[in-house]
Amino acid sequence: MPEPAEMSMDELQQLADRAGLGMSREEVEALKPVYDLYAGYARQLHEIDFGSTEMIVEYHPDWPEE
Amino acid sequence: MATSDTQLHFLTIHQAGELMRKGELSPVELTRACLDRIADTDDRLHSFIMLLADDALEQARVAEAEILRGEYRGHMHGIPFALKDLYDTAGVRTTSGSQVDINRVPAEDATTTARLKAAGGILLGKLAMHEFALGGPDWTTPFEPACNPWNLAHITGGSSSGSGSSVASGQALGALGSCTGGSIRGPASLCGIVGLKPTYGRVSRAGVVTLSWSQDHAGPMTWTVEDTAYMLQAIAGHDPKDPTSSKAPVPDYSLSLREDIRGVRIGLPRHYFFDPDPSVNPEVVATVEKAISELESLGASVEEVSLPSLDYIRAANSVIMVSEAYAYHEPNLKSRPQEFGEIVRERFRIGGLMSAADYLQAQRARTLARREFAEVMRKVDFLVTPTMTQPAPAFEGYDPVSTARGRSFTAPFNVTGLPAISVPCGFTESGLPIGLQIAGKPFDEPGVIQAAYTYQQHARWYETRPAI
Repeated sequence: MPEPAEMSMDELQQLADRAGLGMSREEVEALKPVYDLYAGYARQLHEIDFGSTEMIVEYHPDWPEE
Repeated sequence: MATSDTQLHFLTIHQAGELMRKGELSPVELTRACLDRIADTDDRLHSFIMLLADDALEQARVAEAEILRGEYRGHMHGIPFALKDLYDTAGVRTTSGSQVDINRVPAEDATTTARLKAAGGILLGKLAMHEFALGGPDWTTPFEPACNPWNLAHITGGSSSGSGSSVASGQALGALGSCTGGSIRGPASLCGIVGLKPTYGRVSRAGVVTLSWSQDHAGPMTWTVEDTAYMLQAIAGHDPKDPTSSKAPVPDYSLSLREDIRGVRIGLPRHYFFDPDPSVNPEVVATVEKAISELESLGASVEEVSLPSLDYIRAANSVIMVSEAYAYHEPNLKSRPQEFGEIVRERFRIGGLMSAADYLQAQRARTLARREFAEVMRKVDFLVTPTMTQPAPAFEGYDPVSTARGRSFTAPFNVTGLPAISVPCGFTESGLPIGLQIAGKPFDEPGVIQAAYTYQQHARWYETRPAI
């Protein structure tokens, strides 16, 4: 699987604009190190071999099931 | 009712309760002692965002009259406590440490607030916190960050920062914190107190301002394990206002205050919590290893366990946290972003840049992790680890982004929902506290409390208070 390229400042600005965050260029530049941290987290999650594991958004308090 | 003790503010909930029950201490006297302590120290600690002195004294007078009439309600009756400022308090401003909510006055108490009041607790005020329970000390928010009573140049940890500093310094006998990635156990560890994150669903989240619905937990922070048991007793139990609240029966936690861990099986996930790593302080690990040896000497058996999901569990915790936080805060983030502090504004905006696939993979990772932890917890009774990777860092040079790059020893138990407690287990050479984390099976708060109590009574770290 090809490694995703690091996001450029222009691409991050476009992403923030598409999300409607209304960020100035200066704010986007300040955000970049934090974004890179979380993009790394997301990349790590996409590399997991989940097999047939379903996602469970609703958290069931009385687990684990026997 | 009177006592000549000049250190009333250092009484534990247990000690104060015993004196009140016997008519040897008045709730008014104890509340005044706490208010005096706050007046003497809070210019340096900054634990409180809002003090409710008049209300507290009025509640104390009511409690005093009730106790004198023989209507003693139990361990929390007449006990001065404080709340992290994201617990709703009817008619009292609840800011979440943010300019965004600077004028927010809830109409109703959080369920936990109401339950502590019903148990007879005396609310002293609302406590400092990291803005909206995320990030770190931020001077771009309206409130001064709380300082660590063991060394004022150091942070308390967070996000329940004022909860940690107020309890450690004797300003309050107990406090509530909230925890999404470690915000109860972290400041408990760094401030040398006890903090319990209960099982997800054990304590109501209703009226506690949201960071991440599926990972937020409410819980007590106190000086001793028995005090944690008493506060938990007051707040635990089903609440129809919280859709994730469990209907599991609430046991009597005071029955767990017994010194016995003979035959208990402890699991050590060494590969993540103990093996050398640049983000982990060796002095912390050595101190916790010593505590584990003491648990063995008390009759517990120790075995190494493997939890491969720990390698990605912080990623899952972080992606879920900012995604859910963004969903909750989106309207304010778009309409008045300048009212957020810099740290939280950036983190929440990241949540708006995560994709649906990122969030769903994080939830699938969580499913895997929960399954893996459940399997291991069938073989052992508890997982025992250091609570934090480091002792309290200094304010100077503190960088929350760098901190977020390392391991998290607390987040695994937010992701899996397992109950976990931090209990003091020693100090660094420079005098900063270190915490021992004990995590148990779902709803085994009794076991967690008993193991922590046994260690506490053996090690007796609670005998040392910070000199402030």
